[in-house]
Amino acid sequence: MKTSKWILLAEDDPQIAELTMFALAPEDLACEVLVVPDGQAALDCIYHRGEFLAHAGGQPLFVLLDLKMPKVDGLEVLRQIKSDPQLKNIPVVIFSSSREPSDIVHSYELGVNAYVVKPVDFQQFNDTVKNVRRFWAETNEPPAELPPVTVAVELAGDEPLRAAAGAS
Amino acid sequence: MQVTRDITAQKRAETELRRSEALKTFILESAPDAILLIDLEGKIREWNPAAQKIFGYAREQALGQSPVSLIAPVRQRKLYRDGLTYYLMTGAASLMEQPVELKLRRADGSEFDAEMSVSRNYGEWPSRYTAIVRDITGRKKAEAALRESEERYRMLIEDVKDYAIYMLDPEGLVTTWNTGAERIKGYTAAEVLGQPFSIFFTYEDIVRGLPGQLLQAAERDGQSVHNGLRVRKDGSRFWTQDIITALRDAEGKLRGFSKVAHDVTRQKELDEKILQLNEELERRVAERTAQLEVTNQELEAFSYSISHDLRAPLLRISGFADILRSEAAANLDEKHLKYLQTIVAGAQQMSQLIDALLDFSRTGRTEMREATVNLAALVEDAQHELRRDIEGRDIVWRIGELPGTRGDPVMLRQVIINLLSNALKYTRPRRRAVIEIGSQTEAGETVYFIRDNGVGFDMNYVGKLFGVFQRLHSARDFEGTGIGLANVRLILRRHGGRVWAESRLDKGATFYFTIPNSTEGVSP
Repeated sequence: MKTSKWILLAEDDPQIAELTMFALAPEDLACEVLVVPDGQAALDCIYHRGEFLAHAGGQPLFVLLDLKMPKVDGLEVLRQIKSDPQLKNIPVVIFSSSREPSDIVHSYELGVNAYVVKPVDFQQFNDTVKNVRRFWAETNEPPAELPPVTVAVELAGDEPLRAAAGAS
Repeated sequence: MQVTRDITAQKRAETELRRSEALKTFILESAPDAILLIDLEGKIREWNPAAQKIFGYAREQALGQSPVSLIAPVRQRKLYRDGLTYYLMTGAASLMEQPVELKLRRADGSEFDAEMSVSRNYGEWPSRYTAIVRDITGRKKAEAALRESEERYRMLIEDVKDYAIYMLDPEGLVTTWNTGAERIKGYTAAEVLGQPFSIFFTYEDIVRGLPGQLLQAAERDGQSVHNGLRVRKDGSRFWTQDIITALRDAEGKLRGFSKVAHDVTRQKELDEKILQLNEELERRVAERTAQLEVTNQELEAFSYSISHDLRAPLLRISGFADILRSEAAANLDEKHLKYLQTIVAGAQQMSQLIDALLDFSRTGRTEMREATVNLAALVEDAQHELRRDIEGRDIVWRIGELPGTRGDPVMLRQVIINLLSNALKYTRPRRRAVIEIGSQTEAGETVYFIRDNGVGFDMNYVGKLFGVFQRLHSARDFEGTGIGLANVRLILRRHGGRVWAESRLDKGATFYFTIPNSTEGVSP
């Protein structure tokens, strides 16, 4: 890892990781994607420790974080990143198939930058991941021409909570 | 002087005599008792107005008559005559100076109770005896009534079997004993009369002075009540409720106590049984609740894992099918492309089913939030929500009175949307759909309904209507996940309400529901 531009993808399902990689298309960005299968590895990677001791790539452009992972889960990774003054500026996007209100609320409480639900339909999945990449890796500003990727979740009686990777 | 003085003395004596006569006449006439003067021949010589009133004979009728033939009851004349003769002859003290009670007869032949006293006269009156007769009919009646009442009371108390009722003297010795006491305590009256009532107490209670304390409390407070163990003659113990009441005479002096005891052993046993059953019930409820909590937690974990783990494979199916299509499109013919499309569509449908199931599970788990709900507004809201199904169709809406209710607005909104969406869906084959929404009052309960003129369903399958993933129509004719009505039922159940449906195949359907808090007062 010599490049300074990289994305951290934490995803325990290798095939989903492959599909996510396909959608991220890092070659277009001249950027690398580091895939880790659990939360422990994700933290080791960010802290450059353990098997990532030699990794000198600095901080990732953003972290794409699955919630349900072995060893350390996504919420714990998120908590550690956001409570560390050195790391809290790293954008973290939760990318989960869960629409459970508790997961979403909890993620926002921990300071997630965006909560994006994984679409089951691959074309939507592809679009969504591309939007996420474009926003957090390229502009870091809401691109005006792009339709916002919006997840609306009804929290029993509340106004729909809008989690946007783009703008809303 | 002498003469004059004599005359004066004579005059004074005459005046004195006249005054004495006048006084006697006054006494005779004003006395409330009959006064008869009887001479030595046994004839009546004086008969006062009270005698006239009591016996009904006028003075003229009575004077010179024998009192026996005049006022003695016919059957006892001989007895009375012999008696009177005897008294008159001997002056025996038994009748003299001491009133006797006897029966006397009135002029109309009726008899009455009388009290008579006869006294010997020592004056210069021509008669030798005065008889004073008092009518004691009223007193006798009162006495008889009292006796009867006491007798009745005594019999009542004696015959009571379920309660031991007995009296104690001020020292706590038993003075009366009824059947109930004998039955409950096992002692006969003969065994127990005169015994201290502490013999009914347990050894422990006697040691701590309970019998005396109960009597003192009754004396102090008027009554004492005690629930506790007592001992029968055979030594066995039983539960009783004792009520001791202090009895006082008119002056307030303590005369003794009445004691009412009830054998509450059976009652006590029942109480204990009930207590035991209640505890058992509570324990089982707690156990069941704990089980339910575990089940709920498991269900929640289950839903959570469905939401994660069932979606991932679908994404793989959809994802790799899609990549395959885009990368191998050149090598695939129309048919193979269609196969791939079917794979993707299958994954999509399954994803919808999973979402519906998760919604359903969330409906059951979400905490209810109660508010006032305007159902008419919810209907409008639902029409807006379903506008894509409404636009371009010929629909006649008949919306009636919809009383407001208390409930969870979000959940009830879902009910209205699901029912309306069904009505819209199954009227699609109709050139003109008629959808009626309203309410009626049945047995004091507001019943809401949504009626359509759609394809309806076969009532034979109505039992399946509200089940999860149950569908009465093919997916080819009418799309759907089979969750909508299950959700409706779950939401209404959580509100304590009901939902049911009526239909005939091809004749439309009506869905009814109730919400317990519906009020006529809160109107849209």
